[in-house]
Amino acid sequence: MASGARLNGHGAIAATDAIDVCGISKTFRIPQERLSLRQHFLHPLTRTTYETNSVLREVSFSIRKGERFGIVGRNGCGKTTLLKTIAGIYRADHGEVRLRGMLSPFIELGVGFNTELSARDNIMISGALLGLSKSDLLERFDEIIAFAELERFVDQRLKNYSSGMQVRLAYSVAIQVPFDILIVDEVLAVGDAKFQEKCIKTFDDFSAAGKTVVLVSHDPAAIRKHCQRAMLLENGSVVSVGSSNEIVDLYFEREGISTQ
Amino acid sequence: MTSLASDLSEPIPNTGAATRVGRAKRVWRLVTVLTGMDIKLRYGDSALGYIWTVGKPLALFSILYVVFGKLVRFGAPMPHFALYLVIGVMLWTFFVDGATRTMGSIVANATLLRKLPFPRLVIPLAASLTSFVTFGLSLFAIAIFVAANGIAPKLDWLVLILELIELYLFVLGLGLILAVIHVHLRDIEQVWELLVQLLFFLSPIIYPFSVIQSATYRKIMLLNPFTQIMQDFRALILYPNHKEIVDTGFVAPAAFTPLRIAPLFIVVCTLVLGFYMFKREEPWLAERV
Repeated sequence: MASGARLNGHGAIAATDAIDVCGISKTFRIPQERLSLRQHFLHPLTRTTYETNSVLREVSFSIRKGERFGIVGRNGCGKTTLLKTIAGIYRADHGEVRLRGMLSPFIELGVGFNTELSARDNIMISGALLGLSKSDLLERFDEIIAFAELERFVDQRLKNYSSGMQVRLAYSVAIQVPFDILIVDEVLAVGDAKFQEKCIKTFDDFSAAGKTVVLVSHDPAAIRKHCQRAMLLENGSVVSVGSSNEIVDLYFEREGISTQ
Repeated sequence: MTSLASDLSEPIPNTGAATRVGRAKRVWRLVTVLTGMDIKLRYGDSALGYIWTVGKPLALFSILYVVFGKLVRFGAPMPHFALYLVIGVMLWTFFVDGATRTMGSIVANATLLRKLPFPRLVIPLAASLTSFVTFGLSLFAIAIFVAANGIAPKLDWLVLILELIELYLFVLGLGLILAVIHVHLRDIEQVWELLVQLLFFLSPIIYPFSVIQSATYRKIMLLNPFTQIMQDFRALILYPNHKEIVDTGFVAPAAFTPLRIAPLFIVVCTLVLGFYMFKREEPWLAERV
């Protein structure tokens, strides 16, 4: 499974929430570049010093079950780090992430394909890693291919695919996992108009089925249009959580962009 | 894997033996899928494909046989020197290939680690198993040599299965330790390459064990689990009547002498240390790799 009820702590999650994020912080250690070649030769064994980069600061918010929740913010504000921490790819320095139900992550436009392998093999790997059993996978195989519209290319290696085709396939695999919570990072930014429309239609289907969708985009218009609520992230901190209209207006205001 | 919880208000339980079995099953499924793909990737591109798995060590054997069997004549006093050599070369090839692939597996799968949450252990497990499976093909080559030398199989040889498991676990433990270091320090690749050279000459792969004059040195060399396993292989197949450690390095498996237990102990320690280091590193692999 992508993630079951993963509790970093022991707190209980409210019955109406799908995701509870309680005060998570995340810092990365970045090894500093050595200054010069000369220094490198003089002190080849000096320990690399680290610069700490604090990407998330005490982030807390809740996402309700069945809701479509957007996260907006500039590049580098911590959106992807936040998603990865929720998905269990990163471990937070402190704080808790509480999930109710299974989560399927679609982060950084992919599910980690190997471009030397065919679409068929990649579906088998990603599907297994995301938690599909072999029989489930075989059962859904045609659907995955059909949604990605890649019937003619099933046995071609991914390196011969365009990047748009790869993203389509990845998204198609991610949504075939029996999830309760779907995390979607920037899928609307790529793919042609027709595929975008199909993605948006899947969001509606998920909402109708009571599933939770977390949508991340630096295109505020998409958040406004497709989400009920949203959150603005700035330098790793939550600025505000509210209706998507309010949040997008706030984002524009803070960025000094006119709404019209 | 738990099926989709239809009632979302019931959190999926994540404790208890049932889930542990579920987890083990999931890990096993992931390992088999990844191993299958690894094998496909490894030989999919080359014209001769799987032939290389056996072909390369056989070619290495041929070179060593010509040099040390015919020119230098290490094998002069020995019957079945070719078989002696082929066993050594095949086991050595697996030892090096398995540990090296496991070492590089984490870095090689960085994209996967950064995008999906899954038990990280499946990556090094799959890498080591890929190597073990391809090594299985080499065993057929050994079998052909055994038949060509007119040696009849014996029931005793079943012990070899245990020896193979021991060798695999040693390779896995070593690979895990190397993999964790590799994430932090890519230089380990170079160091390991040199260590491999050193170990090659410190194990009686190309020379008969009796070439080592000092009994003390022979005993020290037998502490190396690889040497002990290799000598057990050779002794069981080639010298069933030798119970002497002096000539062959073979210690009867049933004899629990310190020299039999020490390499086993080293294997266990390597494996425990490997798992411990990997488990400690696991939560941070996605960001450190």
